[in-house]
Amino acid sequence: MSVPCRPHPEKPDKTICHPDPYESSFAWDGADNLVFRPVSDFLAVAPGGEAINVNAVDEVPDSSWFTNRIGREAMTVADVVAGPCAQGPALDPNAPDGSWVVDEGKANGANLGFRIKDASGQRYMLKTDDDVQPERASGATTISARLYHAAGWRAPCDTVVYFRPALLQLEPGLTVTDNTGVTRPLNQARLDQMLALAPKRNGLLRMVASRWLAGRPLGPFRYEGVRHDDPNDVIVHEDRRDLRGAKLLAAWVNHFDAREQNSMDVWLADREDDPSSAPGVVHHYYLDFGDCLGSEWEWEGISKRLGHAHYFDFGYTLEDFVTFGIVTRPWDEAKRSAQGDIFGFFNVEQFDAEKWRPGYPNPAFGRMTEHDGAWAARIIARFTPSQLRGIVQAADFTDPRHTEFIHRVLLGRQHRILQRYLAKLSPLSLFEMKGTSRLCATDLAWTSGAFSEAKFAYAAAVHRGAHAEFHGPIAVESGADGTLCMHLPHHAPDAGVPDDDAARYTILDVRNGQSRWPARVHLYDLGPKKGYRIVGLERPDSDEPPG
Amino acid sequence: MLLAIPRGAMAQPQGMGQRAAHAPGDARPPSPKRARPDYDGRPQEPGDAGDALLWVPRVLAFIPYVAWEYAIRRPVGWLVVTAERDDWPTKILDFFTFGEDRKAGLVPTAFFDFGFNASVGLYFFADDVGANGNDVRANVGFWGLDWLKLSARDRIELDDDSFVQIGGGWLRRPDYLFHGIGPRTLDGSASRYGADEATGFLGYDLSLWRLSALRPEIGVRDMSFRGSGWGDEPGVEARVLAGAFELPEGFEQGYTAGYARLRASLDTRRPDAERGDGIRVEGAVEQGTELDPDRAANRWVKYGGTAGGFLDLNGRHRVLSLRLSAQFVDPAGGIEQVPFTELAFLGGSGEMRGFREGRLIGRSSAAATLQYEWPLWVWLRGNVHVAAGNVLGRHLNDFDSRLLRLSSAIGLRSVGSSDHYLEFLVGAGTETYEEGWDVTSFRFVVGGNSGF
Repeated sequence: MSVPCRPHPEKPDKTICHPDPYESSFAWDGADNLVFRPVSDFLAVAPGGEAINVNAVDEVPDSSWFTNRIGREAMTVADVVAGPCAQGPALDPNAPDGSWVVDEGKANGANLGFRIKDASGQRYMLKTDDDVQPERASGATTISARLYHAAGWRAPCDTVVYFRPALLQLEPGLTVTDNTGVTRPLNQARLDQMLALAPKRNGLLRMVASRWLAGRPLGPFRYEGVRHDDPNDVIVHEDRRDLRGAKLLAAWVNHFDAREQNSMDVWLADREDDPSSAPGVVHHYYLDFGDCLGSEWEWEGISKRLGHAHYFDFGYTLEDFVTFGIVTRPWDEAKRSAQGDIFGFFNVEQFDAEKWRPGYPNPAFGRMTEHDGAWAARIIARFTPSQLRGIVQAADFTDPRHTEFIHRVLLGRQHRILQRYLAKLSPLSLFEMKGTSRLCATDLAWTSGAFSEAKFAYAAAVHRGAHAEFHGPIAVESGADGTLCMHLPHHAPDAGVPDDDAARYTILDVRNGQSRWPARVHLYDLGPKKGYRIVGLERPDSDEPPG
Repeated sequence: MLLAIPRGAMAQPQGMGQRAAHAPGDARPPSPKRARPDYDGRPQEPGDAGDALLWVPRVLAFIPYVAWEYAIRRPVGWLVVTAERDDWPTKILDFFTFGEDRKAGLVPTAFFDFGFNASVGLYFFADDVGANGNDVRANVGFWGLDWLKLSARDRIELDDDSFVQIGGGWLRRPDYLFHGIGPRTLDGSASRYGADEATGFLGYDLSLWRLSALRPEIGVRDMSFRGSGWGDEPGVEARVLAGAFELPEGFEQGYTAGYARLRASLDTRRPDAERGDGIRVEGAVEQGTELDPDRAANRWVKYGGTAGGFLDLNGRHRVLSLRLSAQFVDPAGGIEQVPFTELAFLGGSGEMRGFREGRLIGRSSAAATLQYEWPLWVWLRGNVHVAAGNVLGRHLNDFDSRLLRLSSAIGLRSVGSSDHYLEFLVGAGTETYEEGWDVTSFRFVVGGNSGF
């Protein structure tokens, strides 16, 4: 798509043909989402509904926001570990001394860092851990970027790198701005201070290298409204299922800092030699996962609440005031574990997938419905323990018990998400016709291992015609690998009746015994030769029969 | 509802997220806004009765919505965005703080206690002045020309457990409360007086075991009084003329008292402990002496203490406490005169906070307080109390259960800094049981840094 070209605001001899960059206000984003927007939403009396970008089989089509990966196709361990780094250049820590030129300081943020350009011209942001939780932030960034990417969201290529300090060569005249807004020179002494914070192994420094995104950065995306100068952006963001469902990814890794400043829109021009030209497309990325896996703040009282409450939670504060504190909150009992010492209060025991909250309210997260949550849970269910182990190993923790700890906690939190969000709406997925009469699906609740086998008991019932008359049960064959299949007898002839005639319409309700409600498949019986055609899939949230 | 057989891919919007294959230099006109794809091929479901009913609150809330959205939210949003873009917070911090590490600065304060003048002011802090551990604090408050406060102190840390403080101040207020002295004062006999108070002190603070401490202090206090009324309430002298009570000791001439005080506390609770259980016993004794040779050579001794037990109900800082306190004031040196502002008191910043400052004054006091505190946020705690007690005559010698009053209050208070805090409190107090325990006193406090 193309947007109007106009002169560059600071370089009149240049023309830009991409959407305007958006500068997000940190203070207003927090204040608006904590106070002002909730009051506006309340007075507007506009309760949220179901997400808009959902197709007839209750899935989200590929877009500039989301690509169906692990949710649609099986991925190998190597695939998920390569993740966002599978394509494109890789940073070579064995390059000659001085190959990595430091050309920019990192502007604010929790973790210090700087930008480098390697010998090929590719830029990377290198970020260091803090000395209170060494290896956590770099590990969390590496792990979370791979989880998000495999799940379908766009994330940068973030990778832990161990390198010799001699690789770095500092450009003169650089500055760096800290979180208080004070700008200081980025000179060798300052660089040495940053490097002194980095964990070390065998004389090598550990940092996380975030590959610079291709294209022209346009600033973060908003979690509400649309970008008016992007002709493709036609669904208000708070009603996108991909943005709503990302709440469960954030809950999984405790990405409490999932606010708009930790996202990035990028303009990808068709002409790679002119990133500001049109036509092109805007891609939307999640960024900055350094808060995940148990970030701790200076004040332990705040650290214990991260993920369980907003930074200042009016709701809980008022509730605790009027109830005299009789409710025991998760942060009352939060403890660090000996095995997970660098991971703060990140654990399974206090994790409640439904009650998880980011640091301050997020318009899209706040509108996540049961269907949105179930969709995200079905994606999360596809991650196997081996894949999770591979992703955690990519974080390259020095202490093996940290690897074991994170693997165990991620598995546990995954199960908690599934036990909540696959318990009501049906977890049956990936329905497909195998042949003309055989309908098969995968039970993601079964394959996840999050539920007791004793709960599962499969049953199916057929309804036909315009009024969905009940035609009786259908036998279900289930396999040890979580697949189930049903033979659908034909009632309609091959010819003589139009394909879309109501007489051919068939609805199949399939239950797995574990979730409360069935999966409802809509098909047309096109006859014994042409077979059945799937036209839709619903996950009803009631016991109402079809029709 | 029958779904249609899709003709192509299952509602896959075209051209989303993929670079199109265009020849280089292929200039295209701006693209129009794309139509929203039909994702699921289903017609939109008609609204139901619930959707229609939503219009009722929508219409009712329309004006408040417009006012909030366009008169508050958007202007405030513009202001905050502008402030951040133009770095106003740094400029404000630069204005209100001083020094490279911002160890000194000014903080605006405000305090409101229902039934008294509000006050606004500035609080000044400066850490490590001249040397590490030498902290200076000053406070200026005002509300018109007849409510002025100036105070300052210098705290010098000697080590991790002890410090020395020297300071002083001057306070002029027109709105002090006086109901008379003794257990049977009635709320209806309220009167007001103005006072000027000048103080100077030198103190030593020694932290002992856990939260125990020893605090000796010497100082001087000069008081002068005015009998003018305030608000709707008459002055003290008017009440005296009406026969409500006698003119209190020291009112006419004022006094200048030197004092020496010793406070000691034994507290088994640990700071920052996981549990809030413990026992606290504290006592204080103070001797005051009139220093002005032109006045009668008054001397008095104040003494008293509090014993309390704290029980953390669930090990999560939900703390129930019971405190028993008593204060006594005796004249010394043969002259039976104690200035009324040196008498035992309840209410205000003391026990039985449901009563306003100055409501209950006597030669002695006793109170039993049951209090519950619980956490609301990292730096905010809720508290509620119920107390029974009263001020009495000499050595509690007229104690009678029928003279007991009740006090109750609920509120919240910030925690973390002993220098300044925020507080919200709503409370009430009763007349004596003899008078029927009628609720006649009300207290509402909101603000910060009411004094130090």
